Amino acid sequence: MSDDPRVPQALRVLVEHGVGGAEVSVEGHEQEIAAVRVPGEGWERLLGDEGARIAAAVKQVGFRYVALDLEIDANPDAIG
Amino acid sequence: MVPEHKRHRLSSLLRDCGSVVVGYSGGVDSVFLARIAVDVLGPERVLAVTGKSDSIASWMEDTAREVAERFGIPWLELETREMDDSRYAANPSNRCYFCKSELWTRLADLAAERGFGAVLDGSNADDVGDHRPGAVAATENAVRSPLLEAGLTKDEIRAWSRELGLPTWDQPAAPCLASRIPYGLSVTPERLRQIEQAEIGLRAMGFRDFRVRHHGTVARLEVHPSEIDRVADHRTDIARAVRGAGFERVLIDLQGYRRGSLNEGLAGGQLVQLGAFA
Repeated sequence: MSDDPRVPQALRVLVEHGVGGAEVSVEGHEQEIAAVRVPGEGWERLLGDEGARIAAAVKQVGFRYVALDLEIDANPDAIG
Repeated sequence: MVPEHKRHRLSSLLRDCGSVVVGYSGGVDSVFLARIAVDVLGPERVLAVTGKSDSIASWMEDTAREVAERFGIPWLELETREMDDSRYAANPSNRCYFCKSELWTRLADLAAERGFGAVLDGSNADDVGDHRPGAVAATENAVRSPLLEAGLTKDEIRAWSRELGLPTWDQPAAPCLASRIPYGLSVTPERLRQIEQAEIGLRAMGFRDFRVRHHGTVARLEVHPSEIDRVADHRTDIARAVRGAGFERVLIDLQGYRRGSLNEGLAGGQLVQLGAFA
């Protein structure tokens, strides 16, 4: 688990936007990327306008970029 | 679509130069400029020069060569050595200055040796206000920007290119591969090779307007909003192609491709904007 204080804040923002069960890790040489892993096939919902809006909200906690991991976990019910 | 007064202005500017060396990357603007210069001045008074280095995608080099052959543009490829400059390789926010300084110095020397009257670049009216430290090097080497001087916008250049039958008229913007590496992360031939290989993979899947941003072991893909729904259909192939280029983790940026995203972390004092200096 990351002890970066932005991670729980980012997770909270995701939940507020209906994205549950996600994992957030920090990437980039300046720790500037929130790398979001969303379980299930529902991650496709984030590719588009809705994802862009959610990314803008997550950036507010201190990330420069918010990006979705192409790896997908098996639980299809975790995104609401 | 393209106002007549701008067409006349561009012709007049080129005639005033007499003979020209054009910095010719194979992109929309420089291809258009070289083609018009040949129309106005004749091929014997024009030389289009492409800087060849690891930071230039091979497909851009191919485009430059093919268009020059097809449209009768005298063309020369010149190897540039910006990678040998540690100030460039360190990738500061003014990295482009060191690259363009190498390019424009070489082209200015070439123009002087061969008796050409001016060296030109393809900057246009829409570039004003962008972070363009390379433009400082252009100014230092007396490089002129006739498309900018004529007030031509990108849309007008595309429209005029289409009239002329140039295949580049709808080509997406294609800056050098080093522009995919965040400032502060060094530019190396290996990283440039990884970026090019990954982008070739995505291009083969039909993506046109995107960037593979290099964050060390991580690739962050920016795909234009008009193409981002296709990512779901190609997820597995994208992951395979990008990992095959040597990245351990593949991420899709949720805000998609936007021009200059790596400048988003720069403070105002680090920005060097075209049009803001003499």
